[in-house]
Order: sequence, then structure tokens, then C-alpha cells
Amino acid sequence: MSKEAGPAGTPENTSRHNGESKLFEEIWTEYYPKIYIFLRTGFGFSREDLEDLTQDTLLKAYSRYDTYNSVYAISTWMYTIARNLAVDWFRKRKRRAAVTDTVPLHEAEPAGREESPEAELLNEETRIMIKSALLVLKPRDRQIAFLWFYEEIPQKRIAEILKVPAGTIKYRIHEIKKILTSRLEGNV
Amino acid sequence: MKESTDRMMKAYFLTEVKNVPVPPAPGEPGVPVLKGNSASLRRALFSAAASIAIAVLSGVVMVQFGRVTPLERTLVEIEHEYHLSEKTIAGIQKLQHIYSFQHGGGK
Repeated sequence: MSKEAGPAGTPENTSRHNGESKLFEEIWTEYYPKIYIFLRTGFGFSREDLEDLTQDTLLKAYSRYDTYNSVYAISTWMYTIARNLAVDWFRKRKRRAAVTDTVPLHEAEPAGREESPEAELLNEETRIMIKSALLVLKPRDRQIAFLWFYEEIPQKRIAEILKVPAGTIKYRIHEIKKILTSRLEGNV
Repeated sequence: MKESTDRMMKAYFLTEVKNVPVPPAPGEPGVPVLKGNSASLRRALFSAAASIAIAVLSGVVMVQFGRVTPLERTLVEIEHEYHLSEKTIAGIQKLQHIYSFQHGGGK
């Protein structure tokens, strides 16, 4: 996905009155799995909390769509909402983020989904190996890893989403790559 | 190697994202729009509905097998707990009547 593109085109050009329902469906379909994995990777919620927070993120984004500044990529905005809700969740419950991922490693492949060429490169063993390598990272570094490797969001935007200095993100990406490379090197 | 790590991580996250089953969006036909912790609320509602069904079935079974416990008592209990409508209660009482008739017992 383009770093500055919205879901299925440019939402700002969509007629709010005629296409609201369609817009929501597009946002839901595109961002539900992304937000889900972002929250799972970065915070280690249980499955039920993941479902709640993912849904809350998308509903909040939709209800506050008027506040979205189209200068920024919609993904930046969505992940900011997700991150804020996750932080609030922990603050309210005064719990510490679980270090371990409580969602089973072997999730069933939904039927009828086509595999992308990139996904075909990864077998189950490799997926588990990478998942284990990610668990070595701190929660914030896992959030950075997702936003950087998967969404390819620029460092400056990642800094805005996670509310940390851009220099910190640059340094953390360097460190994350070093850690992951050393973990994966012996297994590839 | 670092480029390889980048590619592997991208592929990993692509796979993970693709593996997430997307539930129907709230507001789609048959999917209620619920606010707050909607998924939790849905589960709670489902759980409450299941409890009512079990309570009603238990009452019916008790009548069917001629147990001493009157269905009315069960009804009062579940009515108090789940605020059943008069229509629902009337329906259950009708069921009770049918079972009482079929099994030759009184109310």
C-alpha cells in the first residue's frame, strides 16, 4: 500500500452523503486485519480484547472522520487511533502489556484467500521463527517493526503515531534490524 | 542479509494480515450496531440469550418428566433476572399447558 494513499483510493474524494456506508465498509475491510495485527504484534492483547479494540478503532475512525486531515495518509491516522486506544486500555485497567502473544501461533488459514507471492515465500516454520524473533523485542519496538516493515510508513510518521522523537525511531529501527537479523541469520 | 530481513519481515506481516478473518462490519444486514466494547457486548447478549434458552428448556423438561418444581417458579425467576416480555411469558405458559395436557398432568 502506498505510504500516503487511503483505502481503495482517496477517501477525501468520496461523497460523504452518498458513499458513507461504502466508505465504512472499505475502511473496515482494509483496516480490520491491519489494525488487528498491529495491536496483536505491538501489545499482545488476548483475542477478545483484540477484537474489541480493533472494532473500537474502526468505529472511532468512522465517527470522527470529519477530523481526518487528508494531508496525512489515512493509515497514519488509523494507527494513531489504535495506539491511543491501546494505551488508554492499559491505563484504565492498570495492566502491563503482556510480553507473550496470547493468540495461538497456528491460526487457521481462512478458506478462499489467495496467497501473495511474498506470502508464498514463508512456510509455517519460518513464520513461527519470525514470531519468536519478534517476541524478543519490546512492545514498542514490535509496533515500530510492523509500521516500518509492513506498512513502510516513513520514520517521521511513525514518530508521530507513537509519540516519540523521530531520532528515536531511526535508532530503534537500526537496533530492531540488528536484533532480527542476528536472530534469523542462523535459521535461514 | 539486512535486505533479506526486510523482505522476510514484510512477507511475515503480509501473511499475518491475510490470515485475519474479517468479521462483517457493524451495520451490515444482520449485524447490529453496538457502541462501546461491542464485541464484548455481543458476547454478553449471546450468553444471556443462551441462559434464557437453557432456563426455559429446563422448565419444560421438568414439566415433561413430571418433576415437582413448578414451571411458574422457574418463570418468575428468569422473568426477574432477564425481564422477559409478557408475550414471551405467555408463549412459555402455552408450552407448559401443551406439555401438561400431553402428559396428563395438571399445571
